[in-house]
Amino acid sequence: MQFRHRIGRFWNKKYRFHNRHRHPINKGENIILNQLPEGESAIIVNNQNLKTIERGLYPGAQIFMLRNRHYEPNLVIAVGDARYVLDRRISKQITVIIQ
Amino acid sequence: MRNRPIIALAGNPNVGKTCLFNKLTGTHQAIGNWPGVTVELKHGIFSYDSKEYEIVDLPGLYSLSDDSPDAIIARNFILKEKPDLIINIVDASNLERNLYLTVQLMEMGEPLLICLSMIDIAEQNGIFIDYDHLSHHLGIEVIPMILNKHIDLELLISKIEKYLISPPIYSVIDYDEVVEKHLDNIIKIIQATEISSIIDNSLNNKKLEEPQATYNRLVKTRWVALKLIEGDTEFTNLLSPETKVVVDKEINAIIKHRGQKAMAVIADDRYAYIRGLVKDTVKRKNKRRLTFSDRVDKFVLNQGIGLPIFFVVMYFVFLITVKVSQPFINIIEVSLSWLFVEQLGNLLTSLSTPYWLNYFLSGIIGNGIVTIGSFIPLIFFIYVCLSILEDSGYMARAAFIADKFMRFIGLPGKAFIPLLLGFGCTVPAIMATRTLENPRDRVFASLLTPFASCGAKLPVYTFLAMLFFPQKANVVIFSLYLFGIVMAVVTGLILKKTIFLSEPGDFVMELPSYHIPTLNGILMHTWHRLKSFLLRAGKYILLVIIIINVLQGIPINSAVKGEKTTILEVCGKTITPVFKPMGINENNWPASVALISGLFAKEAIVGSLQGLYQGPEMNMGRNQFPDNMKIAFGNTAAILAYLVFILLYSPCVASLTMFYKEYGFKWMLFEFFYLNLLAWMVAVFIYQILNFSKISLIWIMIIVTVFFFIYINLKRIGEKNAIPSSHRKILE
Repeated sequence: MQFRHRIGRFWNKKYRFHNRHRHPINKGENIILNQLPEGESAIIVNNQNLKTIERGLYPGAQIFMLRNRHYEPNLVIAVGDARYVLDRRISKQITVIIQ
Repeated sequence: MRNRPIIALAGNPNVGKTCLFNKLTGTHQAIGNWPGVTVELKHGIFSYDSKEYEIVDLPGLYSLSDDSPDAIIARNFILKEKPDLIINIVDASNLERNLYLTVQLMEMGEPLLICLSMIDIAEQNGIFIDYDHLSHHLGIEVIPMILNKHIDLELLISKIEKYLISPPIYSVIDYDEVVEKHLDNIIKIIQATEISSIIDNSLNNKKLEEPQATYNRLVKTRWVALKLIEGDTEFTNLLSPETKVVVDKEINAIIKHRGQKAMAVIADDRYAYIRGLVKDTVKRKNKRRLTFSDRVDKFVLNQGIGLPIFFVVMYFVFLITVKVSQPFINIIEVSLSWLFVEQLGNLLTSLSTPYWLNYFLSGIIGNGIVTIGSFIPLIFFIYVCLSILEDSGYMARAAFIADKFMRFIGLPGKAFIPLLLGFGCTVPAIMATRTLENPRDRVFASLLTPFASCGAKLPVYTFLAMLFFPQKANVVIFSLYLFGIVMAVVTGLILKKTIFLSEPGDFVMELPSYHIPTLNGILMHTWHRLKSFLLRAGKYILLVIIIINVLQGIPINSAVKGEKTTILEVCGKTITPVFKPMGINENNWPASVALISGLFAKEAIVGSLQGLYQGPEMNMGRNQFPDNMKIAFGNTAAILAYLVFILLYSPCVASLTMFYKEYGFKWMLFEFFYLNLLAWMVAVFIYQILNFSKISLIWIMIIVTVFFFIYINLKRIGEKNAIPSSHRKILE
C-alpha cells in the first residue's frame, strides 16, 4: 500500500488517485486498466485484446497492480500466480472494476 | 500406431518441457528461466524396455491461436505431423492460465496426457491440487512431477503405453447456450461442405475402430467450427464465398448476443470452464500475498535503481570475465605451449623428422592449439555469467528496464532479450527474435544483434587490448562493448527514421519467479556452449592458420625484379588500400587478411594475426609477432580504428546464413553491406580524428556525404515499403 493511501486511511478517508491529475477513484467504479493505481486490486470487466485474454486476463479475473508509473511505457500486473509486463497501449483495451 | 511412436511435449513457455525432454532423451538442450528458450522443434529418441519413442520438444505457446513464429511451428507440428501422443506439461503453480492450452488441445481431439510440473513451488505458494479429482473432471490422466528432481519413469511409461493403445475420451467444454446453438449450426454447415472431406482425410491417417473414429470426426468438426468462430484464417480460407456468408451470419449472431468479439467470447467461455474446474479441484491454504519475487522487483524494476543495477551487473560480467580469467589464461598458455610446442618439437627433432614436418606440427598446429586454449577461460567465464543471468530470471526484468530505451530506438522491450543473447553468440540471438510477434520487430531486432559483441569477438579484443594497452585492457574491452551498444542505438535511430517507420509491436511478457541457479544447471549450460565454441573455433582457427601458412609458403615472382613474394601477400596488398584511410598501411597487409578470415569466424582473426605477424622465419617457441604487430600498426589511433572495425563489421558466415534462413537474401545482403560500410566509415572517422592532418578534413567530408547519401536512400526505401505494425492491425 502506498504511503498516501495509509495517510488517507488514517484520516478515515480513502484518497486513491487513478491518474497523474489526481482524480479520486471509488470502489465499484469502472476504469481503464492503466488508470488503476499501484497496490490496488480490480476485476476485469471487459477485454478486447485476445492475446491477453489467452494469458488469463479474461473478464471476471482478479488482477493486482504491482507497478504503474505514468512515465513508464508498461505496467506490471499480477493475475493469479502469474506476473505480466503489459504494454500501456494494450491496457487501454481492458476495463476493470475497482475492488 | 507407428513403430516408433512420436510423442510431442507441449505447454506454456517456461514450464519445464525442455527439462523433461532432456531427462527422457539424455540430451542437454539449453534450458532457462525466461519464456522463449526453445524456438524450434527438437527431436530426440527415448528408449525404455527395448522400445523406442521419438520425443519432440515444441516451443512454448500460450494458445493455439498465437501468431509468433515459434508458436506457429508448434501448432503446425501438432496439426500436420499428428503425433501419437501429446504430453501437455502444466505448471501447477499457475494452473488456470496453463489449462487454457490444455482445453484447446482437448478440443482438437488429439491424444493427450497431462504432466503437472512445479508441484513443489505450488505447495510452497499454498496451492494444493486434488490430482484425481482434476483427472476425473478432464477425463485425462494427470501425473504430478517435480521435473528438476527425480521422475517416476515407470509411471510415465505405463500411462504413455496405455494412451497409445486406447486414447482417452475427454469431457466436452460447454459454451453459452446461444453460442452452442450457433456452433451446432456451423457444424451442420461444415458437414455439408468440402471441409468435411478434409477432416475425413486427416482422420484416415489413423486407422481406428468405428466408435472411436466417429467420436474423433465429431470432435474434429466441432474444433474446426470453433476455429471458424475464432476467425482462424487457415480455415476461413477453405470456405467457398457462399458458405462464408452463411458462417459469418452465425458468427455475427454470437457477437450481437454477447457484445464481444467472437474470439473473445470463445476464450471467455473456456476460462469460465477452467475457473469452475480450478474452484473444484484446488485448495489455497493462505491468501495470495506479495511473493519474494514481487518484493525484489520493487527495486529491480525501479527506473531509478534498476538501470544502475543493470549496468553494475553488466560491468561485473565483463570484469569477472577479463580479470578472473587472466591467471587461468597464463596457466593454460604456459602448459599447452610446453606440451604442444616445446615437447612436441623436441620429440620430433629426436625422431629426426624433416624440418618442414616439425615446423608444421609443433610450430603451426601446436601454436594454434595454444591460441584456442587461451580462449577457454574467457569464454567459460562469460558463459557462466550469462547462464546465471538466464537461470535466475533476471533476463525478463532486464527487458522491462530496457523497454523505455528500446522504444526510443523503435523496438519493444522484449527485443532486448535477443540483443542480450547476442553477447553470447549472434546465431541463437537471431533465432530468439522468433519470440517477437511483429515481423517488423523481428527483422529490426535481428539487424541490431551483431552490435552486441559475441563471445568470439572477446578473445580478439583481449588479444589486441593486452598487447597494445596492457595496463588498461579491461577498460578498453568494456569501452568496446559500450561502443557497440552506442552504435546499436545510432543504427536503431537511423532505421527507425528510415525503413522502419511504423510503431513497434505491443508488449506482453511474463515475468518468471526468481530462482537460485543450480551449480549443475550453470555448469551444464556453460559446458554445452563451451563445447560448441571449441569445436567451431578449433576447426576454423586451425584451418585458417594452416591455409594462411600454406599460402604464405608459396613463393611467386614479385613485380620488382629479382624479389620473391607470396600469394597471400599479393592478395593482402590488393585489398589493403581500402583500409588505408583507417590507418592500415600497405606494409600492414596481414591486418587486412585477418579481417577476411574473420568473416568465417571472428575467433580466426587472432589465429591469422599470430600466424602472419610471426613470419616464416620463426624461432621455435619464441614469439616474434607482438613486436612485429606493434611496428606494423605504428600508432594507437590505427589499432583503435582496427578494433572498432572488428566490432562493427559483418558478422560471421554462420550468422549471415541464419539471417538468410529467417529473413531471406535481401535482408542478409542489406545486413552485410550496411555493417561493412558503417564499420569502415566509423573506423576512418576515428582514425582521422585521432590522427588529424590536412587530408583528414577531406576524409571526414567524404564520410559525411556517404552517410547522408545512405540516409536519404534508406528513407526513400522506407517510405515505399513501410512494414505495418501489429498495433496498426489491432486498430484496423
